[in-house]
Amino acid sequence: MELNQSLNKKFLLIDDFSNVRKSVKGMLNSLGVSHVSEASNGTEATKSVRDQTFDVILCDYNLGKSKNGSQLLEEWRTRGWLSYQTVFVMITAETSRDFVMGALEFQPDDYLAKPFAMDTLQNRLDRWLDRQSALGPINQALDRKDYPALAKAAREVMETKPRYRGWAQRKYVEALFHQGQMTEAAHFLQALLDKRDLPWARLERHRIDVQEGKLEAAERGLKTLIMLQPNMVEAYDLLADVQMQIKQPEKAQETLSQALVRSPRNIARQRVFAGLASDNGDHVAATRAYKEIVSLADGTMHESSRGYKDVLRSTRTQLQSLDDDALKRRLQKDAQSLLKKLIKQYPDEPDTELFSKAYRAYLADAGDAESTDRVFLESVAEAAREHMGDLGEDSALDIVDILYEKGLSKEADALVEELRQYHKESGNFVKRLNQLQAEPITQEARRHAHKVNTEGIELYKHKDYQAATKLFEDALKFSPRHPGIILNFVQSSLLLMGQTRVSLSQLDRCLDIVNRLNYLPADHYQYERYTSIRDKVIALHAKVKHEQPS
Amino acid sequence: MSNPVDMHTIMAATVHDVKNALSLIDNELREVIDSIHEREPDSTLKLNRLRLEAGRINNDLVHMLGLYRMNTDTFRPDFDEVLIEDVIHDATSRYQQTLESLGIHLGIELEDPDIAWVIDPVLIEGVLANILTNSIRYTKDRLDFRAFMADGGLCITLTDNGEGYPAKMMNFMSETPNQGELSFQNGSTGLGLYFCQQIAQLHRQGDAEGYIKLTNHPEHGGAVFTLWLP
Repeated sequence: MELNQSLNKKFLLIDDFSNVRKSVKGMLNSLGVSHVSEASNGTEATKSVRDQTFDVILCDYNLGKSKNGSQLLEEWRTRGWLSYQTVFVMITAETSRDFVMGALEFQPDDYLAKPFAMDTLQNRLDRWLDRQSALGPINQALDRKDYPALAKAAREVMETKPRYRGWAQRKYVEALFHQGQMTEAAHFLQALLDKRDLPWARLERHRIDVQEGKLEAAERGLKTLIMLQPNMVEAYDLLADVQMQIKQPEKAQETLSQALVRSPRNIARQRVFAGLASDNGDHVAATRAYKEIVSLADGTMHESSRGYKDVLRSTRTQLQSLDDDALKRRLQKDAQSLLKKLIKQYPDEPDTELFSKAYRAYLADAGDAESTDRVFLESVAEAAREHMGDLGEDSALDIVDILYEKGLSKEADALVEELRQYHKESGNFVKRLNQLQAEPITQEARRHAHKVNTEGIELYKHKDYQAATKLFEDALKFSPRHPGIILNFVQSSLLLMGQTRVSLSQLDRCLDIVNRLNYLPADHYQYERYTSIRDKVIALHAKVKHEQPS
Repeated sequence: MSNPVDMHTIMAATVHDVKNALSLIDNELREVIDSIHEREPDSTLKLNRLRLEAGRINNDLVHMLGLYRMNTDTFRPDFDEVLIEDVIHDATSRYQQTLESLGIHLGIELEDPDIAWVIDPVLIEGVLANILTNSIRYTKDRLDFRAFMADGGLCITLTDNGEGYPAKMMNFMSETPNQGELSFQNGSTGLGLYFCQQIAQLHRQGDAEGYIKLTNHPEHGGAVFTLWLP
């Protein structure tokens, strides 16, 4: 039966070596397969896949300089160019099998270790074609994304084809998930697990736990699952998600870093990890991960200017908290070369143009005389105000931050004001702008300022205004524009003067500092407190000056 | 080399390198066999024995690396529900040609062709291939794989029609059950069997744990290797 079955099937053979293609084609021919198309690289293969429908694709993992087999599979699946009815087989050098298996999100239907003997190929060929015909209705439903039909087809396979029961069970759960039938999925999975322990079913059950908010149960269960099945990287992803939800971002970062050890080539996971690391203040890890993303995305569908911008942004944050000059220089050099690539590869993106100008000014490469001139940065601020519609939120914040850092506070404030108007519908962005304007400083400094400020508040509560004022003043050194700290300082100073004696010089200082908040928009939650304290300082200042005309 | 990670990297790299070389040797041998097997049956036989030996070196390397990783706790099984028929075919298909030229008949008999079981398919395939390459050396002209359900678990046996296991070897297995102790008294066979036993034990379900067993056939006296998985 097998020979007849394969006679009319269409095969595509992808390998960069013509002698390999020749030998496999010869084997296929002698097994009765006559329709064999060939492709020697990713571009040719993609063209074939878009032009025709194949029954089986045999794709070598390593295609030389072209995209590798898994990148092709990912792109074809994502773009919908590859039917689920096509059997996709990844051919790997025997020793790289583990590597390929563990590392991929888009799983091929089968793997074949090379070199393979004719007997092995025949054996597998029978298996693929048998499966293709048995699972036809399931794969058709997957192609149409018709989930009720998928559920029905999967049920039918489960009942009539015990050979493919396990496979159909997964597709059934997938269909229920897509239709939002969580209770039913949970029951189905529990019934499977009552019979025997199935790692995939456990994972899916915990996915439901997470959806239902049973975070503790999910956390416990996922940790056990990872212990038993340490290569199951999806379990780490889900656990990290739970840990973020229960506000344990450091643990989530650690969990993802373990998943990345096992499967480092997943861009989505690298990105989540980088974001977490950055929020956790681990800028070294964040920069490293963003760099990894750029190199993984190279030549694939994931390649974009965003990757470069992420690295540059992360490097800048890292630089802000570094004391080691040698390391600083090395990071700057890396950043400069990335910036050059960004400019070269994405010349037509308006956002990228403004972004890279700001970074040129920030990195102040000695060889780039134009960018080190203050006028250059002023022109960037000007251009940013004129092209706000082209400017992405992250790039806008970068430019504002760089303006502050380079001492162009006036230009920065003006840009913030216009951005706030332009984006007034986007509450989150306005909040980030306000925060940046209040604290255009490094995260390290921000953290430190908050710590000292909190200690100051404790002393203030105990009416120790002297010590409190000193701490608030300390915090201001790290975060000179923060409304809360400024108002705490002034308020505490006033009370201290009430306890001891009023000094004009101290009042001068208070006035100076409170005037830093001129930028505060009227809808800022500290605005009323600000005006009331400011008015008090002004009144007192006038009164004292009048009384002590020294 | 005090750092275990370094040692592991070195071992893994060496094993991969040697494995690549072996698979090249195997491939070349196969091509030579293809071109001479009609004219020179005697040389073909010798070359096929060489292929078997190359396969054994390959298995030994895998065992060594696997045991090292078990010892350093970096061994990661991957359990999945798979068709047992596929696993047995994957373990045997690459030896088909060798078996034919040596005049050995390989039988595969499944109580139910649709049996699916939760195992680490790569590891179990390795166990079966390992036992197969050993049995090829000792059987007369038959090897039979059987898979069936027994004691609430899955039982896979490989029976040959040779002289059977020597008493010493069967004792080796019964003397050191579950002790994780390795005896090299019996030469190289010990390592392979020890590895198979460790793989079997990684398979657990509830309180039950997988095991291997060496016996001789009650009627014809050939060796019977049994792998039981819960």
